[in-house]
Amino acid sequence: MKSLNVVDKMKLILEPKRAGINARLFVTREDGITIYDSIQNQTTTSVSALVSGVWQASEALMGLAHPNQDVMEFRLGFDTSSQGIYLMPFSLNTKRYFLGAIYQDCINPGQLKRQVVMIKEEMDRLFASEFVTPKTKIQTMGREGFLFQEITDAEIDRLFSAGGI
Amino acid sequence: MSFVNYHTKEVNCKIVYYGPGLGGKTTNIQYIYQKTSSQNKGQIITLNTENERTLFFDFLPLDLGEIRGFKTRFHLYTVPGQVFYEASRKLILRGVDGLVFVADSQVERMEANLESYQGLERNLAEQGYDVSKVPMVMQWNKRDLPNIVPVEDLRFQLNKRKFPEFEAVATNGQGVFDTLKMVSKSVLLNIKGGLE
Repeated sequence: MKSLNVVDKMKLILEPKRAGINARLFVTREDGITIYDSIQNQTTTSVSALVSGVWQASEALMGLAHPNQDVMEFRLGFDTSSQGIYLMPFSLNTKRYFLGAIYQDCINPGQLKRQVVMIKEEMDRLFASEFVTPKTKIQTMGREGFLFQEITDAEIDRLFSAGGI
Repeated sequence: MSFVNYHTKEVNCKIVYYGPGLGGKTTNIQYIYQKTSSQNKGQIITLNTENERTLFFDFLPLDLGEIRGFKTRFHLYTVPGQVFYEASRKLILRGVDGLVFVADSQVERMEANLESYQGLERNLAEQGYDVSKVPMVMQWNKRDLPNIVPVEDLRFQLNKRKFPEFEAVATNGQGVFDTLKMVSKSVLLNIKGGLE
């Protein structure tokens, strides 16, 4: 497990659980980067950006009333009796992530939330031993410490033209 | 806070458009959205007030091509420009990799430009960024309007750090992609490599 990157770790843990959970299951990094989404489509990155935004806004709101709280103990819900969103934070290698579920037409949302809590607890157990894993130097390209030594204007033009621009 | 996945060879970067209210930040993003082919863009997310002012943020994910074998994905955000949304602006700046400061060139908006830029430097410093090292591009927007400040004055007032700068008319796209390409290049060059 230690040798895998965070994307592969999440896939390994969450893919087998997809069939048992009637919800869109996802993991988002604190800054809105998608780590895992059980439904990969054009909304994937939007889900991550919004999850990050809504959590940060909620945390800031809570901080107005009660500063210095440990928000890692919080959960975030937005729901009716049959549909909603449920978010839980967790840590891996000092970075914060959110495990979340978006569900609809759910007969027993309480049970679904319990399933999400159990997944989160399983991840906490699996990642506990990795908490202080030192970062691994994989490769550097060019200037010391930077990924790219030089990028020309022509390369940037090609990059954008690939986007149809 | 860029994210490099060495296994899938993907790079994710967060670029924030910052500036005073009604300066053209959302117009920049909307123009980029309109001109990008559908397979390369995600949904544009806009969280607006009922009179179409940005309430929390606009968000546009852009999947571009490869550079040196790495697939690049840019997440473009705007902040709400109105003065009283300072708390939201601070949140959106978290994890930023690059910035575009969209200044309104009109004479009567110079004070708002200055206030916004000073707020940006303050917010970045609060979050531990060395402002001089954050990739940033200045955009002098609304150059088609009468009663605009000369570029030299904008530069003197707002660009003491000598960031790259572009004149723009975001409503017709002038300068929009020049700005985006420059900030993208600066961000990519600033990505720390070798660590995962």
